[in-house]
Amino acid sequence: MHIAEGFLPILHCAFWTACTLPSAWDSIRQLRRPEVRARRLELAAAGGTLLLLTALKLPSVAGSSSHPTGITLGTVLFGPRVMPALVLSVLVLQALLLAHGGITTLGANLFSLGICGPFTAYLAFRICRRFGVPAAISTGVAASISSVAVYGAAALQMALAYPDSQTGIMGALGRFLAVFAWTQVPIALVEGAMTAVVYRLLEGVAFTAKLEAAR
Amino acid sequence: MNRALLALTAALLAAVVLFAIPRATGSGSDDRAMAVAAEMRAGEKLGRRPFGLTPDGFEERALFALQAGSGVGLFCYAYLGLRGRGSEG
Repeated sequence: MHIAEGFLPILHCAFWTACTLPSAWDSIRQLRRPEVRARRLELAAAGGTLLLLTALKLPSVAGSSSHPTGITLGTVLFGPRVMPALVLSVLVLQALLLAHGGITTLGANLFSLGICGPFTAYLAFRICRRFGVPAAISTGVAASISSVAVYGAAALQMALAYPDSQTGIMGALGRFLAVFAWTQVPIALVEGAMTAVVYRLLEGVAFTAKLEAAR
Repeated sequence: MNRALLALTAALLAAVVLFAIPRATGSGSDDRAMAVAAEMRAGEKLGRRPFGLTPDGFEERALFALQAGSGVGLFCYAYLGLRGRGSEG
């Protein structure tokens, strides 16, 4: 989920924006590198997956909605440093046209979806590969773990902004996580399977996984 | 058929299918989580939307179907391009 426009206090907005600025700047520079530009079709495939999966908002039993994150494919193909720029473009589109997320909360949403998620996926993928897990399955596992991590980060951001009056930040965090867990855990599992299938699909048409090359 | 046309067809099909899927909870926003937070700061209004844009129902479904369709189209275009490049090499 994306945190809605105007929802976070302005100091929190400024803080999360400041946290994400260096990564966003670095990511835009990464996109300009010749080796990335030479692989524009793979970048487009990762962007298409991101656009599609973040649009699939599914209703939950609690009355809320959640969606897959779609960040793992790009992370596996290009590494986590490229992802903030891709995610930023999708977040801006959604904030301006779809009322999903917002401009003031752009920094917070970019932090959870564009930084926390990809780096978690990167770590999970590397660990899986180190243990000899096949690449497609590693990608799926990374997708599931990063999906949960994104929602954990969003829940933490909201809990920091609005701690419970009695139980504090931890109490609020528990409540937010409980709200999302009903939908996000099944979605994370499905996303893992979908990402593994897409990885296999692309694997068959000659692509280079950056993380594979780096092993 | 040229790959742009194929990708466009896939995008349109995906958009139509995704638009047609009924949503059990109406607008499908992140309302519940926001409501929980609103309880914690009782008396304050829920988050604003930028530029007063508040799509819901038909409009929201159409916009999200458009986004998902674009994603499918972009992916198909890239996939077909990669496949073509692979067969050339």
